[in-house]
Amino acid sequence: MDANNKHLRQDQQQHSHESLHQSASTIVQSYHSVEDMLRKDAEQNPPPESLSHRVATSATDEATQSKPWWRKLMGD
Amino acid sequence: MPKWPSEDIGALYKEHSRQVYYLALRLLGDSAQAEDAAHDVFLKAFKKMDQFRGEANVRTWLYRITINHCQNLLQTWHRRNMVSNADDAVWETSASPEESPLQVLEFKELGERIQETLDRLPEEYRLLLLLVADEKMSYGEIGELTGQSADAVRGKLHRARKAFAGIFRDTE
Repeated sequence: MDANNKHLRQDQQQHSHESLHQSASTIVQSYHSVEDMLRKDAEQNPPPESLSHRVATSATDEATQSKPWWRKLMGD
Repeated sequence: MPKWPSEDIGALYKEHSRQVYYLALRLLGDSAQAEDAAHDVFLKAFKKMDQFRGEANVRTWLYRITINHCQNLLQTWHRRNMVSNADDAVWETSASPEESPLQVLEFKELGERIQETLDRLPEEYRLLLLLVADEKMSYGEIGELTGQSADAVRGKLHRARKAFAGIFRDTE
């Protein structure tokens, strides 16, 4: 029984892998050019949400630090 | 929503962050390093904003900073003999909500093959293909960034595409 289940699982995994492989090949063939493929890849890889917050925080810190000392003192 | 020190800076980030991040991701091959690099690129750009005189377009200017920054990082890593590993985290965070798990896996496999192919290409070809994939970049602007004429870019792109296709087939 265990052996049967194991074979079934292996068959399912292999089938899933083959389907994936065929689908990926189909996707690749659907691109008109290398550039098309890279554009789709770029769409799939947007910057992480955390990046905008990191950049905004650092930019704000930078802007604060670059103020002249007398403006910081005056609370501007 | 992040709080930006000025509207201009927020707008600059919004307009160009996708392209800067993607270029860094595929040059460095690592999502965490690409995030750090993109962060540093935008900070450098904000600090040097007063030096930008509009002789190039902003995208070209940001790409120049990105390329220099990534090349410096890669040189440092190579000197230390560090090899980056395939990064599954890229794919765990990138799926659009409307995509099925199978599609996510398909794009995961595709992205890994693209990265492997780009890694095996000569540096110049890799850069040309990544830049020309940005539809806002003209051959003239790519030539300006890579120090050659638009005609030279056109000729090399033809060879770069052929080289990419040959290596890509091997990754199957």
